[in-house]
Amino acid sequence: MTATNPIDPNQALNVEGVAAGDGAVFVILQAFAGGQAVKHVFQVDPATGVATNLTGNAPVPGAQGRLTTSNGQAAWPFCETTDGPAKLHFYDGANLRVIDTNISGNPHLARGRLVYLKPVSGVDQVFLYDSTQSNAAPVQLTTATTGTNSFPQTDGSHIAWLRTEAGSTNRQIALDGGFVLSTLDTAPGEFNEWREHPFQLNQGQFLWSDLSSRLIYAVNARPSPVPLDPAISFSGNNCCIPWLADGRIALVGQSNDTGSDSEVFLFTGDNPAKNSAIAPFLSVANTGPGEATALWDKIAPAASYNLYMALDPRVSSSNYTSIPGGQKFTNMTSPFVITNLTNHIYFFVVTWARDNFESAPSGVAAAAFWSLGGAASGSTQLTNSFFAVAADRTNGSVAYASGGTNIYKTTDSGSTWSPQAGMAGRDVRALAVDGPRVFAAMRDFFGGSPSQIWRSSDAGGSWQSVVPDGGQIGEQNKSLAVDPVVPSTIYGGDFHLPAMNEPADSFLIKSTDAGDHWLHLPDPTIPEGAELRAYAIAINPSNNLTLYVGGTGTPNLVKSTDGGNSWTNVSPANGYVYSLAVDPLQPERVYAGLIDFSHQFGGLYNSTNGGATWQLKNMGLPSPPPRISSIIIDPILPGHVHLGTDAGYYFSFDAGEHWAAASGTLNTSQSQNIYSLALTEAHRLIAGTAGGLFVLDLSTINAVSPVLEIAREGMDTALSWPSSIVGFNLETTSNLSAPIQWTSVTNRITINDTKTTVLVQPVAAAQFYRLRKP
Amino acid sequence: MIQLTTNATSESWGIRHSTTSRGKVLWVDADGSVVLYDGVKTNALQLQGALGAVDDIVFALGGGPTPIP
Repeated sequence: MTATNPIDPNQALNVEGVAAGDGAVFVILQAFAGGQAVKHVFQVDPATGVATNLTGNAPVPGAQGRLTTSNGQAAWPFCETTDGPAKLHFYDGANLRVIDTNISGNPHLARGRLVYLKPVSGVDQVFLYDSTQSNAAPVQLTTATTGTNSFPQTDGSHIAWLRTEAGSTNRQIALDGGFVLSTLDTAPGEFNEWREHPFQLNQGQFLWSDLSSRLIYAVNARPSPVPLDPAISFSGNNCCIPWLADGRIALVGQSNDTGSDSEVFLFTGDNPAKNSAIAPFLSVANTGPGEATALWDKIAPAASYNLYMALDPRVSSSNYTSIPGGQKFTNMTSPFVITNLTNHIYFFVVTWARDNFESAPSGVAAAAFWSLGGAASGSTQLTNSFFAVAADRTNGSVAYASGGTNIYKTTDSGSTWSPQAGMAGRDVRALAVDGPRVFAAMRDFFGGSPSQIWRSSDAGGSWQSVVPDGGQIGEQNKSLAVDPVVPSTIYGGDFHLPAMNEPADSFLIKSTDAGDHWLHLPDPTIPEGAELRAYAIAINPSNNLTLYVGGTGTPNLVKSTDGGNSWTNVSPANGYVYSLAVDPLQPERVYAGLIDFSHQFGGLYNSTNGGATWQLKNMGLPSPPPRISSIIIDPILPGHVHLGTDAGYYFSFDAGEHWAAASGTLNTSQSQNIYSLALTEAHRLIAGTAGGLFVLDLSTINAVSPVLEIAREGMDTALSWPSSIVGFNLETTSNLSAPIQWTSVTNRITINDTKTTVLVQPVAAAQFYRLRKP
Repeated sequence: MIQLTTNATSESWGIRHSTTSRGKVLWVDADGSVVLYDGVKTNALQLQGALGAVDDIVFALGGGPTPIP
């Protein structure tokens, strides 16, 4: 690089700063005048290395702070007097202009949009100068008169800064429009080596280090820890800041390969959207009965926004018309209130538009509307504590719940409940169902009544005690599990039968004759003194000899591959296991909800190798993690997992990688304390809570809409649809003018391996057909 | 996550400006050489030789001649 010293051409220059990008290079070169540093900005021709002075020859302090460049433009703070106000210099690729004066900190420039800080009434406010606009002028984006704003950043679409509210020490990553990206759990941490860049923003993606020194990478506004190998440290000695660009993160960290030296690593994340199509960030919150409010950040080039809503997480701008509940709201302003929402999870995406262009959709946000179940007779709502819920997987809408010292049954997926004769006054803490056979385990009291197991063989009509003396170990938590392959085999957790042989026997009991007889299963032999306390039992539905048992014992989680005759310690971490589930579609995938009162290890653990190793999957859960009382894995929809916790309901549609809160109308501390979840075959999720029984209709999620085919078959007309899709009625009408009168087609149905077919006689006029799910 | 270096000396870069772009990474090794990973392999762009040490506050990798659309 060659440059001429603007003060004394015979003197050399020091390079004090650089910015490079999009084929342009800018440098700050320092000269001296009367012993005082003079810094001017030069543009460097990358081909020749010749540097051209952009800021003149005046003996002034000159360029301060950092240069920023994008698309051949550049900006920097510039002082004309010592301790004088910093002017904002903007080079537009041809000319230099002063955009503002008395700015603070460093500006940031991307794709023609320049963001910077300037004090107004004693608080640094965020300003935008959009050079892509005709008659561009600074626009003040923030107005808060307390707290602090710092480090404004833009990718040309999003505008973000670091926000700290008055009286708080928690930093937030705030975006224009009121959207906050970071959570308490992922709040940006101490600056240290991050002092120049408390967070990074590149092409809609963010990177920062949180208070736990985790490296947080956020795509579509969903923060996740970068999965660093445990052998890699990106903090401490010999380390420096990671850099995010174009969906990749480069970091210098320490590995254990050849000692304590640092090495270079490259993480490949998600491919970012094109700069021109970067989507807004969206959040949706329940704000009243049947009401949700959508909030999204302002995108610099946007002229308007479109909001899409549906009852399916696959909602997008291109498919919303073909999925349940699909709806489009055009020309919207954030925040936007949606009303008249009913007992579903509603999913939303937002896009921005300008002229005839519409951006990619945002990440999906959701709001849930739970309904409180009521008594079948009368209008009484069931608001007692309900400790156990179990669904009959063989009968679409039947489920049982225990609470208020009774057992209740629903035949309509949780809308209404009827108390079951013979169980009044019994405090049942665990339920298990297999068709008409229902098992109920009662809690026990020290010095009081022993625990009991009751069985109904007629779907709750009558009950018999099959374990009249389950002991008095003082345990409120009980567990029951029916073998999904051999349903005459049942396991029960935390019982002490009279015949128990201590210390060899565990508190886990088993029946192989549908509950007529029970025996204790052994404790693990390793470690010495091991003792199972079975708060949760999960059986592999593909190999029913494999089961997992977790609780407060030692070990806290064990696995058996021989039906409980022997055990292997598969503990994920210290703590108590309150819930377990085996993925029916991928049985090596196991989930465990663990509570750790030291708040070091708790949360949701996931294993993909049958418990050999575990990963903590708490992203999106509160911090410290809640007690996870219930884990439900959808048996049909891969990766759909539901959590009932003492801090509400959470769901994940990516096998636990991210959790979204959807407590919604579970809006009291009692109703957010979920003891148990059950998913009916009809895809209604039932929550037994400290404030009653609630239900959420999930039947529209990933609902399959069958294609109805019509063809001539001899003298008849054949109407057919895939035989794998059940539960639809065929209906017909001769007139599509409103009001349409549809009637059921009751002709004979023929079903083969691939198709369900109904033959109808042709008529000499138009006739229309549809499939409808009642 | 891939590890680009496996030697017994430390690599570094600065805290002011990004040293990665479009899958490429620029760093300084313990010998004072400037090294580029071009997405496939690492190449020493400049050995220190008789030059002074690299000042990592003036150290950046640009995005190439044209902006990402």
